[in-house]
Amino acid sequence: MMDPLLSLDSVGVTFSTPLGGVQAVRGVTLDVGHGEILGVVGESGCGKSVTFRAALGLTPKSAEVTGLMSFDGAPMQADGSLEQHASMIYQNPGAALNPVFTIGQQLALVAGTKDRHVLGDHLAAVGLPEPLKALDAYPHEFSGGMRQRAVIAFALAQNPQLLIADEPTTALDVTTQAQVLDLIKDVQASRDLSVVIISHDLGVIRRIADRVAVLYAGRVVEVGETDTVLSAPLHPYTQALLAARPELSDAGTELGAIAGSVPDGRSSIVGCSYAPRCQHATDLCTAETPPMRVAGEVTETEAHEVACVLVGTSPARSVS
Amino acid sequence: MTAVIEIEGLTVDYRIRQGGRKQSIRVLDGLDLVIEQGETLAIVGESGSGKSTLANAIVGLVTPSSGSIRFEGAELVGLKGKQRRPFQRRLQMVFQNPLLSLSPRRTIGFQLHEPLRVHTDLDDNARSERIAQWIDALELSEGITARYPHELSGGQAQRVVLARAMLLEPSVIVFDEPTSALDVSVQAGVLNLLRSLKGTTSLTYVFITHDLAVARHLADRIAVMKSGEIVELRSASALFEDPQHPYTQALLASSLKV
Amino acid sequence: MAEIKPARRFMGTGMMRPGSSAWYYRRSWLGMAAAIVVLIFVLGALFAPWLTPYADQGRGVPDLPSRLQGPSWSHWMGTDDLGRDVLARILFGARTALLVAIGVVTLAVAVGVVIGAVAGYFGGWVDEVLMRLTDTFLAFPPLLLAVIVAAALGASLQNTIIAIAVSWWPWYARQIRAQVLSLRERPFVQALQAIGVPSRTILGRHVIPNAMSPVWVQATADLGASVLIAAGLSFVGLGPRPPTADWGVMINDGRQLVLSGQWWIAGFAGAAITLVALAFNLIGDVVRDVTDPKTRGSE
Repeated sequence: MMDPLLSLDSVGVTFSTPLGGVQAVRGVTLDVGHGEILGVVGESGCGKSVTFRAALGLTPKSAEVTGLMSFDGAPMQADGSLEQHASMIYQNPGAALNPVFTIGQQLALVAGTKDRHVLGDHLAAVGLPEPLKALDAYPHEFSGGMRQRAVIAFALAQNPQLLIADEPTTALDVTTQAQVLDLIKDVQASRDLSVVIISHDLGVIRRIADRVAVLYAGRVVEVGETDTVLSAPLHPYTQALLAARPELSDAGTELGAIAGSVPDGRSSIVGCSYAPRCQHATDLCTAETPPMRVAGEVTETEAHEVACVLVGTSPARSVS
Repeated sequence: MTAVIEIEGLTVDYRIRQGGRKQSIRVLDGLDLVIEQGETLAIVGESGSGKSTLANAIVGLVTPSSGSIRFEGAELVGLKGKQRRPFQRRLQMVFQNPLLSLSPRRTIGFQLHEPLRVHTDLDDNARSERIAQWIDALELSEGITARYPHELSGGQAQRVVLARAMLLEPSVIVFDEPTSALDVSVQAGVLNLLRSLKGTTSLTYVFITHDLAVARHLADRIAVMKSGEIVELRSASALFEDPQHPYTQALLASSLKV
Repeated sequence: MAEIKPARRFMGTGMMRPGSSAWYYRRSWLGMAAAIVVLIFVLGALFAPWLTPYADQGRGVPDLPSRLQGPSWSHWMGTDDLGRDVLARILFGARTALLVAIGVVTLAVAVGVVIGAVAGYFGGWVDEVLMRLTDTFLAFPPLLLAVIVAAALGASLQNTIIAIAVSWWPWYARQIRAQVLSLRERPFVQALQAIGVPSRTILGRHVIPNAMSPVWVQATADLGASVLIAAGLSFVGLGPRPPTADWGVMINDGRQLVLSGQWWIAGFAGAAITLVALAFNLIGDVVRDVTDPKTRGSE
């Protein structure tokens, strides 16, 4: 990508435990462009959260972070130097809020001002009703959706260029989920932010992400425009993920379950990490790690890339 | 079709302490529901709708303030511990998080023998035989009986919990969010398994979920709950094609489609 | 059928298993040193009659002509005011001390766990009644209560055990009750209730085993404390009666003699008490650190 906001190159994260090293991220190469919403999707254990925590310097000191990261063109170390420019929101808004202080008190800490009008504006910007009254409310008086909005307000109060949302809607009700996602989209548009939305739910990705990166076992296996990837996935894992969703199958048919389980990160993997579970695996797959290659047509800004040796570079050839 | 569970006027109140005073919150208000033998009924709703409370009340974990729950003709409300036991065998519940539903310090084998010990007169060998059959049916390895819960993956734990329920040969199984805690790919396997286990038997499934897609996929009928009441109860296909109640319509509209 | 592999697999079994509590314990040198000290005393207590040529004296037979000799090659720790070999008395005294320690902790834990677990699990008026009972016992300073009970029952080994246990069980009851209160809400307990497992089985086979962790930690440290308190009781004459060997009695007997230069009776007895109590305390500390999941690092 030309001139990305955040650029991750072969980022790896290894946690040290008394039982040895656990490689949560094995080499993620991703770019986040200015003003775009990038979806990062994968199941538990794929390393999607850890990657961005490493970018923000939020991994434990004992964790080893490798690879290159740069922000707005300038290289950075994983030491929290990104803090001023990026904010992160998490899955459980209740846990992010201190129950003993009011929303206003906590917002004041983050926004650096006690001016109630300014604080009220922050809350109004995320659609909280009666923002001035809300300043004096305690977190437990809010519903889950309202708390998540408050947390988003906190994140935005720091004026970030990049917002990272880690499973922001997983703990919310269905109707609230849609509202919060739409809020994120509005906020992105009005402030021209870049957003990374991490989720295991393809529905979430489809709703607001411009591009999507699919992660498996600590590596990116497919990336491209959301519509393209979700309607015509090229990587067998992406295809399997889509086939496993009950929605798309007719009621009463077999869903495409994926046999086996995600590698646990204790041992290094030679070759494609998905090969043991892949129906189409060949010897070539286990020989060496498949590189990300462009598939299909390359437009000016976006390219559809896949890490699978069985996918050709010409539009005609794809795995059926 | 015979009715296996008949609920009439079910009312459940929770007492909580708020700001130093004791208050009562009405979670279910005069709920009526008839569940037919052999069907798969999905109860769909958001948090606060009372769906989990309904499931807990059916299984006896929550005592209703008033109303009646008849199971295979017998009244369950008002029964104390021992009196309830004969019915508990035929009315099982599977909880949301399989790993947390298993006792941490007991082997899987112990936890599979336990329900049989409580409810049947089978001797040790007979129990082991039946357990082996179900372990096989659920595609688990034999050695799993020696393991502890923390050694299992989410999918394995879910199968173990299913085995524990199936062992007793119940007539009704209530599932509380059976797949929420699982990854999509594992969820798919579990849903397939649930369907194949039920097969053409007269087993009745009642499952609580907030995921409409899962409900549509498995259920014959769907009951939509809001604020302690059932607002719509129709066959799955009818509900999706032509939702009547505004709340159902709102739910469908906001569910995230891929 | 394809087997879904478990997420983690530990190598080795039992104590050698990396990541188990025992394995962590072995990595603490202080813990190992303390464990060795305790082991030495335990072995000394078990094999006392065979470890000393003066076994009879250990049991109490006097040898007046040899009284009050200082440490020498024939009597490594000297002799006491009745001519008995002090080392033999220490070894036999170890039997008394450890018997009391184990007896006290076992009794206190047994009573406390049952009362606390029942109170926590069933709640309601059962909880109220049991907790008021516990509070009543807690209102007394523990040492005072032990002294009162021992005085009322009369001085003997069994009564010492009972006296101290009586003053200690409330702590275990409270501890267990807190654990049970939180465990009671857990999904696995609800699942067992839904299956129809009787309450006493749930409590005995599932809830209590999961609630015992802090109790074990407390109990190991309490072993040391009970040695101290038992010594205190026997120091004032409320412990086992002579001729039973007892460290507290030895300190009392040797108290005056220290002033006239015969330090070895009270000295060695005091050292023994200190070492054992300290060792148990250290073991308790290490056990606590080891069973705390937060100090283990990420798993």
